[in-house]
Amino acid sequence: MELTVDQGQTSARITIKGEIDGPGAEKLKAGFHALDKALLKSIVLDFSGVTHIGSAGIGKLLLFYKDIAIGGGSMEIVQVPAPIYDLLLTLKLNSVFKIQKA
Amino acid sequence: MKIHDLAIGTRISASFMIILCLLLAVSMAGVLGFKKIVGNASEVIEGNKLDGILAQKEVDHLVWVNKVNALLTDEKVTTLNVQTDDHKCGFGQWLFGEGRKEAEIMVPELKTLLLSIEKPHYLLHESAKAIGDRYQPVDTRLGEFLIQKKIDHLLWTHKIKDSLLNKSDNLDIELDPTQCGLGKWMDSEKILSLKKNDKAFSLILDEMVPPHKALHESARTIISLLKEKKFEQAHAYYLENTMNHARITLEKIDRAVLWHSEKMKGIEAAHTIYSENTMPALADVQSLLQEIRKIARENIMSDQIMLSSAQRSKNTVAYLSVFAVLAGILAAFLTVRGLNRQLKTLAGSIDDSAAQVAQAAHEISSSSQSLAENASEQAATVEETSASIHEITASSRQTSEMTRGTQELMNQNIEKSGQSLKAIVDITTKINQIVADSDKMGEIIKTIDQIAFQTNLLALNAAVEAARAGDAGAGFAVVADEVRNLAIRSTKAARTTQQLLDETISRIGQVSTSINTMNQNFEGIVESATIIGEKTEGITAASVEIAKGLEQIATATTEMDKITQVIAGNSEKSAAASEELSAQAEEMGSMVAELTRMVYGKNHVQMKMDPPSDQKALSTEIRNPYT
Repeated sequence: MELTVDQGQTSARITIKGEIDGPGAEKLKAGFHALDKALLKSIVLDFSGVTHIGSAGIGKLLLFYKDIAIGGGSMEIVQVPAPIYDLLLTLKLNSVFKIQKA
Repeated sequence: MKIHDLAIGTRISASFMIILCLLLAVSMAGVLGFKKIVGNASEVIEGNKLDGILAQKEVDHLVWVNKVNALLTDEKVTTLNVQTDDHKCGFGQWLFGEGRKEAEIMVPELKTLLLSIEKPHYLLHESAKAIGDRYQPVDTRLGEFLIQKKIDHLLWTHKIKDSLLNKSDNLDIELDPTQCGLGKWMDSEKILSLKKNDKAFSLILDEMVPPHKALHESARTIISLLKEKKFEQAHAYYLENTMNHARITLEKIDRAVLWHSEKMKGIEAAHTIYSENTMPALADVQSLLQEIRKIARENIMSDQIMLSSAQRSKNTVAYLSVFAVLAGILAAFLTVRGLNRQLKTLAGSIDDSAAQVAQAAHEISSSSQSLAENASEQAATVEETSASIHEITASSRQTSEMTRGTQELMNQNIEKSGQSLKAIVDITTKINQIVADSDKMGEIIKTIDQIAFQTNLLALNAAVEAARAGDAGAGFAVVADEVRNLAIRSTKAARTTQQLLDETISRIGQVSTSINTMNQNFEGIVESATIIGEKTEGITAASVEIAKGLEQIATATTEMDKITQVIAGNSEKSAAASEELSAQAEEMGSMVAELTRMVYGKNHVQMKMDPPSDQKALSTEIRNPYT
């Protein structure tokens, strides 16, 4: 899995490519921790290159959402491929943060 | 590479190739020799043919001249029956046809001579043509014959005259005109034929017949008169008739002689042409033909040269044949000797191998029997294993179904975790807001406390001023006192509120701490749960794969069971086959003996087959260890 972070002063765009399986989830977590979340108010996750996401990856998304939301920020997942979009909707995560289908 | 390193097939092929090459060389030499001989023979044949043709032409021209000569000399030959066109005679057709061209190609030196022979040959035939034109067919002795007949008739007339003078009627003369020499001659077949071909001659003879007939009839009259003794009348009749008829008859004979003389002039002219033209031309032609033959013989291969060349070719082929035979024998000897050596070694090796095969066959037989027993045992074991694997497969399928339920639970867990996180975030946000509001409330309370303090000071100042004012300020002093009391109460209330607020803040801090702790714990729970979910997914997928694998193993085990049974059966067959192999090994030994016999002959094999008794026993034991 590859992670590309484009961080501004109050916003950041994270582009993810590949499979977010067990090891991918750990890379995602490390990437989230590396962000300076103090000033971040808006996070956009670009899922256009994601081919698979497992439970561990979804857990990391939820925890990242918590960290951002507690600071008053918002998180949005965009360009989500259809199978992953259906999965996230099945888990009703669209009620937790915004999800945009590709 | 040495010759011993070559394969047998290669060596045999090489030997045959050498022999074939030698045969080819001999054949080529023979073919070339024969070709040369045939070429020489063709040249000789063509040369002989040309010489024969030219010789024949010489003879032909001699024959031709003889025919011309016969016309002039042979009374039986009355027509010139020779070819007078120099292009149509046999030699002319050859001279002006393909024969001459072929001869000139064969012997170019003949060109000049053949050109030079054209003129005399032409003159030769032209002379014949002239002879033919001049020649008049006539009996050369006819003139002499006619003169003789003229004399005969004069004598015949004189006999009548003498009888008249002697007055004798005894006349010994021919009275019939057809029976005298002239009469017979005129009635002969030859003269009748000649009359048909020559009108002039026919006219002369026709004119001769009446006076001749009258002449002979006059003799009858004179004889009658003499018998009647009428001498004067007879004499007068003689003078008046017989002499007259005799004169006319002799004149006609003279005309015939003249006619013959004219004919003889043509023959003489033909003779002149023959001697002056024909013979010189013939001599030239014959001379040139002989010269042509001589040149041809000089330039065309002779029989002797052809024989010498053929002899050389024969010797070459003979030497090559002898060399080829010797080389073939040498190659065959070397090949056979080499093959014998290799076959000897090979036979020994095969013999040893046969013994080893027999030994191996026995071992295979034992092993096969053991294998058959083990295979039977293995079949039972495989059967048991198959049953166990089927049970494991059922369990695996059940586990797979169970893990599939776990996945659904994991999804529900994630969903609830999301909602819980959302609620936690909401609570945390609100608690933080409360904490922030508490600080503001503290500030407000401090402000109230400061206001109450200032109010108290103002109330004290008002009381002082009211005291200064005396009674006038008594009421004001009461108000100031009340204000001071209110300020004191406000201060107390503010302090109480501050205390309550501090306690609340303290409790909110504790709540916040608890929420943070809960957050951290929940965070750990979510992370652990999702990781477990991830692993569960892997386990689910793996269990499905395991179930599939187990089903394949079960299938394979069933197949293995069948194969094991087949192996058991085959092992028994293998044991039987090894027995057969042992028999084959013995047969191989016999074949080796046969091979040895082929290489060394029967006696050598007999010696090999009859080893010393101790070796024989050992050999039998080694070669037939199972008999």
